[in-house]
Amino acid sequence: MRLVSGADHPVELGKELGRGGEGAVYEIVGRPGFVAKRYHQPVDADKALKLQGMARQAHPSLLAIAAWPVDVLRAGSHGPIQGFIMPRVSGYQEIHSLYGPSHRKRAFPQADWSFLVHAARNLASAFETIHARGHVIGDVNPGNVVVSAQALVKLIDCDSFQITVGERLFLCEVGVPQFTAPELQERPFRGLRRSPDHDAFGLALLCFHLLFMGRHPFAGRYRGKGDLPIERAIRDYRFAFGQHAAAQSMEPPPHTLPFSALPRPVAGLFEQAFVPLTPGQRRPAPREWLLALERLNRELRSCRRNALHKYPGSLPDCPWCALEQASGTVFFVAPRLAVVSPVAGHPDFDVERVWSQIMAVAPPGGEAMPHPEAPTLVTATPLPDVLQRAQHDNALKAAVLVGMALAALLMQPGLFWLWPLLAAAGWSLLRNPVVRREYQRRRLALFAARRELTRLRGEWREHATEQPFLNRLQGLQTLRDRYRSLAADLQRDLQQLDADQRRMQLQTFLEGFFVDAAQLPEIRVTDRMALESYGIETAADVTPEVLRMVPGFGQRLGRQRTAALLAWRQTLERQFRYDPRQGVDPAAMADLRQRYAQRRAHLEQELMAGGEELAKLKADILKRRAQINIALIRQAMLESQAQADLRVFYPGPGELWRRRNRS
Amino acid sequence: MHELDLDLSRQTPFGVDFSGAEFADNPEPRCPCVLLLDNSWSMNGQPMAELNHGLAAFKEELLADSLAAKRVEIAIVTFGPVQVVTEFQTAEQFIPPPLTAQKDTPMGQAIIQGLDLLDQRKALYREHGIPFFRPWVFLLTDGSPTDDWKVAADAVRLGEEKRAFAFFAVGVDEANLDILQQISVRRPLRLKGLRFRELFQWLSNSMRSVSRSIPGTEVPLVNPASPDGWASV
Repeated sequence: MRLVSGADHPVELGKELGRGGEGAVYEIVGRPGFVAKRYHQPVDADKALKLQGMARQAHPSLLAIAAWPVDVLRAGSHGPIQGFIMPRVSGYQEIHSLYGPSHRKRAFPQADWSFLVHAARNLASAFETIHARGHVIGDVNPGNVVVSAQALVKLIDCDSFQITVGERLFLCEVGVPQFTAPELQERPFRGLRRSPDHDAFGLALLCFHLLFMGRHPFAGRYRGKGDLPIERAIRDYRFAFGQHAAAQSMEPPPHTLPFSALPRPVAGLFEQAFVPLTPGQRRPAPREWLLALERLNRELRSCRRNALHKYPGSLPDCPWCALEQASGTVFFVAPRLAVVSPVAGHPDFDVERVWSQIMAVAPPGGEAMPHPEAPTLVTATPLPDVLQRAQHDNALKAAVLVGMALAALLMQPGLFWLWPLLAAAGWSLLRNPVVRREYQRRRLALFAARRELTRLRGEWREHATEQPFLNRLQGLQTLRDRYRSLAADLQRDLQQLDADQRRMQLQTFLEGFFVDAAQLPEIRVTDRMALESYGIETAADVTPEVLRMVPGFGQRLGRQRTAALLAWRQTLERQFRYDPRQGVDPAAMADLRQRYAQRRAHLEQELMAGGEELAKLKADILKRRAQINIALIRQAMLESQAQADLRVFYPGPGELWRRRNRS
Repeated sequence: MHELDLDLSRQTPFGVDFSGAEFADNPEPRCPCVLLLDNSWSMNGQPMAELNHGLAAFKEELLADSLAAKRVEIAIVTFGPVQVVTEFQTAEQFIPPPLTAQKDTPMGQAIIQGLDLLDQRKALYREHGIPFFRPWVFLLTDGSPTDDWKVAADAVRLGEEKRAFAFFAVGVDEANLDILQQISVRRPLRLKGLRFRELFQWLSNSMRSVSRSIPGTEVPLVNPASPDGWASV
């Protein structure tokens, strides 16, 4: 079926990226920064209006922090709405893989507590952005929040948000009880109208998860009878970490960061978010979180014993040391790159996967440079009345002068050379120069317009073709091939080292056999002396090239002697046994491996950045192309305008005809 | 430096309890699953091999979902004789043990053992403030019990009533479904042929949807007795 966007542009779905209960998400062919979500079931009229409203409200600030719908997806022009288009969120991971220590150590190995505090700060900022535009998230839960390696936070599943479009309110009718505010517990989500304050409860929960190693603030040791499910703990305001926890029969679970480790302002925000509200009171707003967390991060210090431990500077000692010792768990690990063995490379690096990511970036396409046709309806700027009059006068003057010159020529043909000169001189004195000046001005304008057009064409050829993209892609391909052949290359170089070693051992072996001591009947004493004077002392020195230089070894009998010496060397070579135990110099080998490790790390880095680099290059090209295209079209219009303006001075027959009729 | 010296000079008891380490490392809500597996002699040969393959597939399937891998915990009790082969472990840590066919079928004792294991685990969850989903107990047998199973049946009924766990029984081949019917509150199912792989695929899918749900709510499960399913009623 043909899918189109809201503006009726065709949308071609590419690869399926993910599938959920509600719908599936696809790449869009030719729009790398965006994806399309298509619902499994047809959407009702309300949802369709909501999506259209959201697309209309797609503000850049929202697009920066959320997978916000930017357009709807229709089944054919005027067909029913089947889904929507949103910015693609890639390189982000679900927030639970950041706050859970075991998962974090793999997914975010570089993340220390400062990183977690920063992620919480960015989360608060995302909430604030949503609220500032008059919307409410509603279904706050860890499945709807994703985090990047730079602790940037994005909200996903935005089509469930509670949206205000003008007078209309579209509700968020889903939720997760574990992340739902106490006053909403046990109430159906259907028909529920949420406020930013309800979001503030969810925000406080997620911040707590981030700061307290994935612990839920309402999951503690319950000292009462029976089991206490989280929803009930929330409903009863049993915050297990706060100062009133004991009164609520709650205790923090063992091996958790003590709540007292938090500086008072942040601890105060948590308390305020998790206690019953008196009428008129509100929970801490995102902005309050943002400021408090920013301040907390500024006041962090590193532990003297373990630099990976970051804690509030107000504490006398590092809480992480005590916690790690008591729990037997390591909460923070040194980034893995540091411990990676040099040749093994990054264990998670999969060149084929990375390459497929690179290939996933479709080239920007080889669009031709636009050659806008001269617009047919260019109205030349008419000459101002003053100039027209001057032109008219000039024509009259010229006619009179020509007439007078002709008359004079008839009367005095003898002075035929004088009259034209006089007429020309008179013309230069009598004519009105403003017309000429205007003509010059218009001619220069045309030249300038043409020059600019040429310049723009050059710029197009330089920046708007897909060549830079293809060049980089080719460069990456070379890198990939080099990466693939790394192992073989290393093997080859190691073999080379080995071969060199063999040659060196042979050399040493041969150097132990002196020509002097050899039993060679063909070689006379004088020959030996000659050899010696040419520096040939041991079997290692015996080579055909060198022997040829020695007197007495070149001609006839000399050939026999040469052959005898070479045969001697060959016999010795056959006796040589390579001793692999002596092996290659370990330092040389380590050096070689080290160089390969560096090369590998470098290649991995470049290849991993490749996809993003290409996407950026492509976006740049497309942007430049669009800009230059517009400039080109505009410049072409300017040029034809300038041309028309100049043509006023050379009226064709049609133009003259028109003027006659007008006057 | 002063505190450091203090730390070093302080005496510590031998064998410090680090049982909380796993919860400190991974405080996600848990979704425990006890597998009660029959390894009596009658399972020897093809059925045992298929069961082992099924277990390996079970782990693979769970690992495919990063959240389920952190939430689903597996314990295995084999019977013939009764033996705790795997204590509770998250899918990430779980290594399928190679099972071999042994002797008789003390099913009753195995059920009691499995439920005990579950109770201990739940106590540990409570102690460490770890929320948990309703546990699953999954019984797989090809025979009929060779011991007294009445006590076990009572324990299962009581647990189901208190919603302390959900008990599923699956019979393989010649299994005596009549007795299973009396033990399990839910209707026992019969495995079609040796479709252990499909069974564990279904189990992991179900555990995945449970682990992504909210503790304490019912999750609609795919009917395993459908024509393409692994079971017949």
